[in-house]
Amino acid sequence: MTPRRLGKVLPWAALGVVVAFALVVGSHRPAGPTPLAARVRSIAAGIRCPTCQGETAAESQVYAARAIRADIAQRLKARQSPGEIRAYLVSRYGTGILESPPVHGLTALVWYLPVVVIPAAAVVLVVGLRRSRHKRSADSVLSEEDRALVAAALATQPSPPAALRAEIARSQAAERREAPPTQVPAVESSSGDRDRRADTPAAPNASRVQGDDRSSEVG
Amino acid sequence: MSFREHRARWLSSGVGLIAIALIAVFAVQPPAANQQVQSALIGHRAPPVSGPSVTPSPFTTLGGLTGRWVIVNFFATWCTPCQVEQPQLASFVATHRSSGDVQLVMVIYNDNTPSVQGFLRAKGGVWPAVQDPGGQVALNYGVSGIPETFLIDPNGVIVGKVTGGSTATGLDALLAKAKARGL
Repeated sequence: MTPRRLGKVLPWAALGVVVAFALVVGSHRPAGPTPLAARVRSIAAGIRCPTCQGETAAESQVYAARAIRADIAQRLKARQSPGEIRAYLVSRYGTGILESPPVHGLTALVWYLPVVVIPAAAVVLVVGLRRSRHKRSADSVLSEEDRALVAAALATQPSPPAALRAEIARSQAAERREAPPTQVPAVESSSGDRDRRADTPAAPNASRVQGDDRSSEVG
Repeated sequence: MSFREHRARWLSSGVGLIAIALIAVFAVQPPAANQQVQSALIGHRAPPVSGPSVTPSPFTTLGGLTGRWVIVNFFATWCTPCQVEQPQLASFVATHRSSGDVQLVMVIYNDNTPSVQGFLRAKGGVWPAVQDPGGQVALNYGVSGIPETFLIDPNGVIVGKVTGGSTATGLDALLAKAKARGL
């Protein structure tokens, strides 16, 4: 390496060494003690204010919250650990004083039961709706007996007007497509189904329900 | 009558039954006064209470009352339920004065001494009342609102806690129940 080239590289190499040294020293330097106020605030942030709603002992300025912060500071000065301080407060107020109370026993049930029950309820609901829909769809399909009745009624009557024949053909085609009915009430009952079919002009079942009266109108 | 055929009727009956059950549960709830509650401190030694009384009734420490039933009441003059409760405490203390089996000790919660002295002088509170600077005593008792009242047995163990205003009858019942348990 020529001296000129060495003169170019050396400053960069020196800079690299300095940066590496600074990083090593900086990362290994022991952290100074956290100020007491910050430690108090850190512990109080996990403690509920006992006399106010939705605030921690770190945020609230009420008498009880100030008393808790003062007590935490006193105990930290006495070299108690955060766990010991929390245990002391739990011994006075119960686990409800903690922002994140331990989850076990009945508390665990309250937390985990909805996780099981809600998906199970959703599955039951979806399956029930699908079954109900499938049943309604199956009910609306014309049986061979229905078709035979319609054909017999048409055969015994004089040829209906063209408009009526077209309407019958349309309704039969619609039934074959098995389109789901659009006027199905939410709560079905056997009598309700009969009424609905009877009230639907295009439904071939109507002729069966109302029998000869209906067929006599044809033509 | 199958469920499928009468689903709406079954559902409405179920909702009605749940509503009736809820009404029944709320109806049998104890009133806000004399509400005995669970406390993490019940069954444990009562935290110390000490200091000079701000009233003419002498007091030094709770430990000095060992051998007697003690009622520790957390109180402030700015607290309306405490004001309502005060005549009941006076009545309770008057009833037990002759037997001397119970001693009431009031702990002042975030209130100044002259206010308390004036209030008790006017309302006739003849029991010790001690200051709690900084609320350390209230914290040691796990007080989460006032008034709160603790019953301490002759051995210095907390046996009952009442939140909200207490009545003379309610305190008598609490005391009788604790005595019946052989405490």
